[in-house]
Amino acid sequence: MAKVELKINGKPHSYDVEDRTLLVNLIRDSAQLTGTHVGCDTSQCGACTVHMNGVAVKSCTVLAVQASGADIITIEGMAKNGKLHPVQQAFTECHALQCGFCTPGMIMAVAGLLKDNPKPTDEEIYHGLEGNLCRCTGYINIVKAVKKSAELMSK
Amino acid sequence: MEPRAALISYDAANDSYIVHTPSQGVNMTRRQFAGYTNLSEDKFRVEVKDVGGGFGQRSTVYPEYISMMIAAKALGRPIKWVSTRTESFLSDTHGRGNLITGTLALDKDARFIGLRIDWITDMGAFLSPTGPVSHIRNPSTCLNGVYKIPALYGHFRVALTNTMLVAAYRGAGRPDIAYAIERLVDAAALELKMDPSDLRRRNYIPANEFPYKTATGSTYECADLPGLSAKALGLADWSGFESRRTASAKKGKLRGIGMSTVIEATGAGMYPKDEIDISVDAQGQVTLHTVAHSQGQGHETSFAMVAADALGIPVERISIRQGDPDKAPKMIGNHSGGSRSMVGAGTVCHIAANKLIDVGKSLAAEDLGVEPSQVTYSKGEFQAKDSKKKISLAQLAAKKTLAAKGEGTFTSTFPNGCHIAEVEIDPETGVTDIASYLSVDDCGHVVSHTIVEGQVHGAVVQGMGQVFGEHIVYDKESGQMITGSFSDYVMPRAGQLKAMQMAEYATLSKMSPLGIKGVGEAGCTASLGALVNAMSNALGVKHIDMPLTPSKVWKTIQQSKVQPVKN
Amino acid sequence: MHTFSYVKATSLKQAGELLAANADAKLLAGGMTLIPTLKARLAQPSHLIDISGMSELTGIEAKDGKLSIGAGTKHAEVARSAVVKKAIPALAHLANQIGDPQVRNRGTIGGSLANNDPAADYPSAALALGATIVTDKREIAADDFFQGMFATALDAGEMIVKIVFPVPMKAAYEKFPHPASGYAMAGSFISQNAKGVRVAITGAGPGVFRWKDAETALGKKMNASAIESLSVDATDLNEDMHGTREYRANLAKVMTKRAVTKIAQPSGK
Repeated sequence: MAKVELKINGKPHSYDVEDRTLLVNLIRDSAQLTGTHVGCDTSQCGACTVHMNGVAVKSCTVLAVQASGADIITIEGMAKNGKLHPVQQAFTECHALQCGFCTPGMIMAVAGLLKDNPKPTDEEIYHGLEGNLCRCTGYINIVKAVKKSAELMSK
Repeated sequence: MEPRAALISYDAANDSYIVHTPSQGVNMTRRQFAGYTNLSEDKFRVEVKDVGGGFGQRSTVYPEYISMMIAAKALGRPIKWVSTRTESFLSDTHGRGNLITGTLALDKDARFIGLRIDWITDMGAFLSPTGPVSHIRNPSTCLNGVYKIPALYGHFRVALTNTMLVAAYRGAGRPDIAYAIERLVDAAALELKMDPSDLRRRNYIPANEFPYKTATGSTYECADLPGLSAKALGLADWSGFESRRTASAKKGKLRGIGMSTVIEATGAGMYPKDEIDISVDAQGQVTLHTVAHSQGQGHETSFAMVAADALGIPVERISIRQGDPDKAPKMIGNHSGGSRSMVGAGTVCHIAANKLIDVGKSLAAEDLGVEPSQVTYSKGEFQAKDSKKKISLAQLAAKKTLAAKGEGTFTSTFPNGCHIAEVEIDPETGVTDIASYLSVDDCGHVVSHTIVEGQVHGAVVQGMGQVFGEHIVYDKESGQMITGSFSDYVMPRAGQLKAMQMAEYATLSKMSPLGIKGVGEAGCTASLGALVNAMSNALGVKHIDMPLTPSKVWKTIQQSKVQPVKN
Repeated sequence: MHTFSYVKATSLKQAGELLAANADAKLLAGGMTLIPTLKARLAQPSHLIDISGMSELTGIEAKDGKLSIGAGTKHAEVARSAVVKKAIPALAHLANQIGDPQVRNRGTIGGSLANNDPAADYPSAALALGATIVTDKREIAADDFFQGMFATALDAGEMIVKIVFPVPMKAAYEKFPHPASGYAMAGSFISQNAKGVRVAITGAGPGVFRWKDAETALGKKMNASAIESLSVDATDLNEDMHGTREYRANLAKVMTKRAVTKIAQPSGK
């Protein structure tokens, strides 16, 4: 067992968890933030993507204990005071989600991509989305949303 | 992408079960639970909230849920199960899995005179609720595709194998028959040295022969296939292809073009009608209840748009409630699948809204002190013709119960489309780039262009996935599933289909007042043929079976020694 | 996962002591391979010793014709490092193709080399560049380090501290990604320096290997045509549903040709 103390969306959290507990399960089960999803077993689908100390990571492939002392941002932490984050706004405007299951992870990955590269080319967008799977949209509107996000965030 | 999950608890006082599970429709789910357990439907309360994709896999009630019922009752505790992705691959219903042999007979004028199909469908170990109908009945409803073929013969056999069950999967047999026919037509064109678009044009059912009764007894309602495909050929610059092929060859690449003109019968529905309950509250908020259930199709938007349009009020004042566990058992209606929700439940939103207006007129008449015939309705307000006195929906609902029930029976519609794909193959690696993709779709009246576009994008990419890599593989020696994770099951990713050019070509269905035809599966139905025709064209082969993985394409090139003409 | 005890090591020395004291302990760096392995219950370590973030394992430095990268350096850091891009841009390019962005934010070069997955990217760079793997006990030449599928020259309890790459005159990496997993189905890293050319192939076989025939031919002429008549021996290559050994042999050759084309460009490095 371990005591994990960390910040999630700016708020301090503290939980006693087994050493083998995954970060995604701490987020979902302990912190009850169920916007972060589990879609696979082999770290491919990206539905579990969150930001850890400023970078996008797959929370299903991080132990909760490894996140001790870390700053975690989940999808719930993206909108501020009822106002959507530009990436969320872009996804809405571009119809870049259908069932919505992959969407939180997709948005967190896109936000991470744009942090490193505020004006990505098409190829850089495809490369930046390699860690996220979607079944519903066919990705075309997601790519549009990334470009729209870049536009909104450059203002 | 959402794995299967269920939470089941047993209510001992009522000897009944509460089931939380993502599903494509609560009523159909309840019906299956009842059917499997010989309990009556009212012993099940099914609660469905957000559903992370369906595509046919989530219309089935699975054995795990029945086991959970037994455990919940025995232990007196709620039982929860969430599938892992590997469990998904092993135990979610699979899709497609058909061995189809086709023969097309043509006369000396290259007109189709007969089609023979021999079809063996791998159903897996047991028959699933939707597998047989998908792969036996469905193809028979559009067995001649978009062509006038007077003689049709289909021999359908079901194979039971020691693998997971096959069920309906986006298109439910219609992509398969469309694919087989479109491949046959291209093979015929190759043999006859005819342009594939010319051979098709010669054989389309003419627009003035609709409604067209096929040799199997189904009747296609309406389509303008020559017009639709002419539009597609123009937009795709079909006639300019050879120069693009030459340009690709100069870069050492093999380029091909393929078209696919298809028609399908959308879901006829398992329930005798679709019902919608509509009501208004004292704040003027209109709520519609349906037992259809979106899994990403955006019914909360499109149904609301239909109702808003009928009522002449902003769409923000409409709420759509799906599968309410208290209301659903008293409502009759189909699940969401088979491309039928907009046709069925969606149209009934229109009917229910108009019924609400009628009911409102009677109630408003009492309030306004006139005969109902003297009341008009416009944009959320009832008005007495002479006195011009008004009462709004909100005001009326504050005084009276303002509600109505709409219903309608709508069977199959016949969406159709022409898709054209161009591919560019790198012969060194066998990798295919989709150089362009065009879709022209007739889905009748379009309520939301955005949603239709999204549905076609998604379905085309699912088709693309099947064409280029998706494949459930069991090891022949051990029976082990090799493709039990995304490490081996090839999924489409961003950038594989960079763009789609899309156009609409509507011929309105008279099946329903709104003229809608379903479109949820259309992208799958057309994309298989378009892409494999393009690949066959690029490779210069008569046929090549899916999946067209890089290694398979490379091997085909090696074997046929097709070389790009380099200048 | 099976249960284990997690310890965050405070120093390399402590990590070494913990490893020595617990025969079934494993080091945890990025965890991008280890955690999926544990999730699949394919391993059952008694302890996980977390060495991530340790200062002894970080740092990228180019000095005196050598590029030195700390074992704990993440792929994303190598990919965007101005120092790496200047000294061996092919290495930055390679790092940028490992996994996906989220994986690159966690996975480390030390972890990749210590694991020696036959489809990993870094082993081809280390072998082609003739890198030295510096451990807490000794220095091991790349030629001696890789010993087959998931096998290395590391002794039990021995830890990689840094990897030292001699800076080549030119280098390039081309990879054919596995259509599902994104690992290398065949990756070819070419390094050219005053002593000659080295070509290391990963992904195609049970472990990274040098394509000696190509090295000789390219040493004479750095041009794709120089290896046109050559082929990679398919006999011992991997075969699965995604490709035959002949296909992998073909990919190895094609990736090598493409890497050569890159090197042969005026800016090729």
